[in-house]
Amino acid sequence: MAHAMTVPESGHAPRPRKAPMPPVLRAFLWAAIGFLLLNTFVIAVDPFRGHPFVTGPSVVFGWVGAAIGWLLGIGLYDAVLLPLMGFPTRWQERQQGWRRYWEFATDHKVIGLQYMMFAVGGFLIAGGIAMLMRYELMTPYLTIFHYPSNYLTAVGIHGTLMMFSFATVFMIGGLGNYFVPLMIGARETVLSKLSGIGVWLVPVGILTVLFSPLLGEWSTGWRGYEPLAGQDANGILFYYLGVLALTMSSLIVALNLVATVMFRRAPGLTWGRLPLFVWGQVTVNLLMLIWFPEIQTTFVMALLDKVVPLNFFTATGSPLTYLMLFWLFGHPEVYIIAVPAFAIWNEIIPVMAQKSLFGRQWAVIGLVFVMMLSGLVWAHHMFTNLRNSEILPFSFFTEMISIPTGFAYMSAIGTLWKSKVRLNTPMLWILMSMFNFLIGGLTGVFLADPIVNLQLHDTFWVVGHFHYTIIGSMVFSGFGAIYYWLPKLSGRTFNETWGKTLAIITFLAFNLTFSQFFLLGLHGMNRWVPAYPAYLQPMNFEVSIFAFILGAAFLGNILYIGYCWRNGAQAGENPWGAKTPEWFTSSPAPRYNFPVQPEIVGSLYLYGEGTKVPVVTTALGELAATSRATQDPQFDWHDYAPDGGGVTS
Amino acid sequence: MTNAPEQRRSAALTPANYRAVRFSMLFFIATQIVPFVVLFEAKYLYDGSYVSPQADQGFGVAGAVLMALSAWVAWQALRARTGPDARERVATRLKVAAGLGLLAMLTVIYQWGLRYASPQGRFGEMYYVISGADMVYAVVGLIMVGIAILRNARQDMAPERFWTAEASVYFWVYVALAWIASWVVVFLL
Repeated sequence: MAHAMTVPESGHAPRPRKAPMPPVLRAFLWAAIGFLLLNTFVIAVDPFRGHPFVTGPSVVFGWVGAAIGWLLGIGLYDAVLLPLMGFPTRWQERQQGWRRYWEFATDHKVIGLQYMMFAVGGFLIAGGIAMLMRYELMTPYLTIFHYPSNYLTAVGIHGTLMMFSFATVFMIGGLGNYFVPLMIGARETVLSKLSGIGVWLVPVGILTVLFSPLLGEWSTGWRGYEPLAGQDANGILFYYLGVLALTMSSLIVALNLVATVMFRRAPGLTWGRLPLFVWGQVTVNLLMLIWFPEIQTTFVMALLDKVVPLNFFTATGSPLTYLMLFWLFGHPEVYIIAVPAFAIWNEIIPVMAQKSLFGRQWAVIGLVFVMMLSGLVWAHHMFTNLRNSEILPFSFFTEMISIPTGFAYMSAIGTLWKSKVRLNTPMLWILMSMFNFLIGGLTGVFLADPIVNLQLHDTFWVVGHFHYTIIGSMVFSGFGAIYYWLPKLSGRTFNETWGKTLAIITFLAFNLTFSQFFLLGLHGMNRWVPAYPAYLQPMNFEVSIFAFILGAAFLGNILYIGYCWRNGAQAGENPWGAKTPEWFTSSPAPRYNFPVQPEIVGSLYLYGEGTKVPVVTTALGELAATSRATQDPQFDWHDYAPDGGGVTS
Repeated sequence: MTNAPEQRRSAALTPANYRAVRFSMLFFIATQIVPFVVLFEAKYLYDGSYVSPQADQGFGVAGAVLMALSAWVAWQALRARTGPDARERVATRLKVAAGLGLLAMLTVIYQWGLRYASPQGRFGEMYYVISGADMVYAVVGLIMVGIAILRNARQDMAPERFWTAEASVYFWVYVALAWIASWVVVFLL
């Protein structure tokens, strides 16, 4: 195995002495100015709205001004706009220190960590709100929320932040940005500046959704259902705008990663050798590039419905059209979250089993077919709104999608079969994820049956199914991935006893919480209600206790990972004996990832006697004579090293 | 790496980077077809092929023709990138394209000012939303063309520095095509 090497950080010019203001503070200031300018302008020219300082239209335009001001302040002005227009700039990228995570950056690893940081922030906020919801549900009457609409607003913020600022952002913006370039042997991403700007839309989105109650309550949950939204106060406007910012950020990630995989793969890394995790990312990125513009358009239409007002989705318009447009995106969104988890299973299992991945092609085909079928099942969320003749095809495709999903299980189980797997912390999380998603999938097959669906649709059964699917796949796999890649991220490792203990507590608390959701649903516990029949209280009370333990367990894991990041024991260069390219450079990886362009000469998932090391990092001169240089007359090493990258040929 | 002087200009594109960013730009533009597909479907759903008799067909045609001309002129800017006076010729074409685009936008603003269709009506709401989407994309396109004009005035026209102008032209052509498609859907079908 090649030795990990460290790039000597080339000398860079000192930053200007006078840094006028920390970028985040400047961004807040410019955002406030942007909001005041546009809000005041709209108030001044809007002849219809009376005289309050903040109205529906004014706050929408004010938000646009604030978002632009925020992005300009964080670095768009100095680092992008000035050079783009041909003006000189004093901006220089900070190469070291914690401050680089709080300003504009172009290093995909910094951007990945920024995404993870914001995503964990969103997770903690949304998780805290979930704790409030469970506290409310400990009694069958209203306690901490004064009105049902307050509770529903909390449900909406919880769901919106979890879906749009955590699930998508952590797996794709965070892990995708950090690891995809490393895993394909790239030295940086294609759209690094755009990516550095896009990540700062995440705090915009989180803060917008979080502060939506300032404009009034909204009762629609994370789906913004119409015509319900038509009855809501202006808080729903910040739901639309917040999700617009978050989806725009994810759209940028998708575009950047697809282009990077297309154009930055290391020599020898054919599509047939592409790591499973990268395949997972590419498939969901394509889904995002199709469906995110669709939902953004839908939300703009809903926003105009509210602000102008128009009648697209009101009771005199077509509420069903909103439902269709939402779930056209909404169901692929579930797979956008789940597919990277499937990929992570089959990324980690062969490493921990030190056994060749079983049916690698089928694992990839499964990911691709899940992606394709996910656009054909949307109406199973709407069985209660459809005629019988319309239900059948969606029921059929919903049951069919379990087949390619099963390919991920087939590869995983086939690899585990008769292997001597290392049952360490990452592996434990992966096995737990597989179990939980299995429960989520099986309960989903029940819901795909229209007769059962019509009975269970408005009950906690659906809430249980959904949380098993999303937390079971994404969150458990996400923790598995973080424990697996912690040595790469930080150069440090964790204590197995602590890691396993926390994993087991989380698993037990999760199952004791959400498995009882199915029972609650069967007993008649409705969704979307803070008050319920008294006979359901004992089980709800008990579920809330387990939910609090689950919340504490998640928090414990996050704190423990943070502790190990700083204080864990030094990890080896490749502690798991993995074969994917990210392990063939130092930990954490240097600025441009690989001091010498690696070349892929074999499968990344073959283990056992006689298998060769698939990644070689030969000397530059030797590598220049390999096939890539002879095939491409325009091939130039400097293409891989911005500004020369300190490499001379 | 940042060994450069304190005041830096944008880095030049290498051929491989050029291919990558061009792919990204064209792919992004392809994704922006989706919003118009949604809007055109909504138009069909809400008011089918109805066109208000008060809709001014002359202004509809004028706007579409101006945008088509604008896109054609912008495309000529790409063909003028080489030669001794390339900078001047590119800048002139981009400025003409932007001017024609502005004129097209004025035709829409004028029609909006007439308020011949109520936003509460089925035709009116789709007319305002689709033409509004055209306007938003046109504003973004104009900003991009404006940046390209500014950049070309300050930097040489070497091929590796031409990408900004090229990207703005690609986007502007997309804006024009979306505009023409919108005209067909709103005024003709």
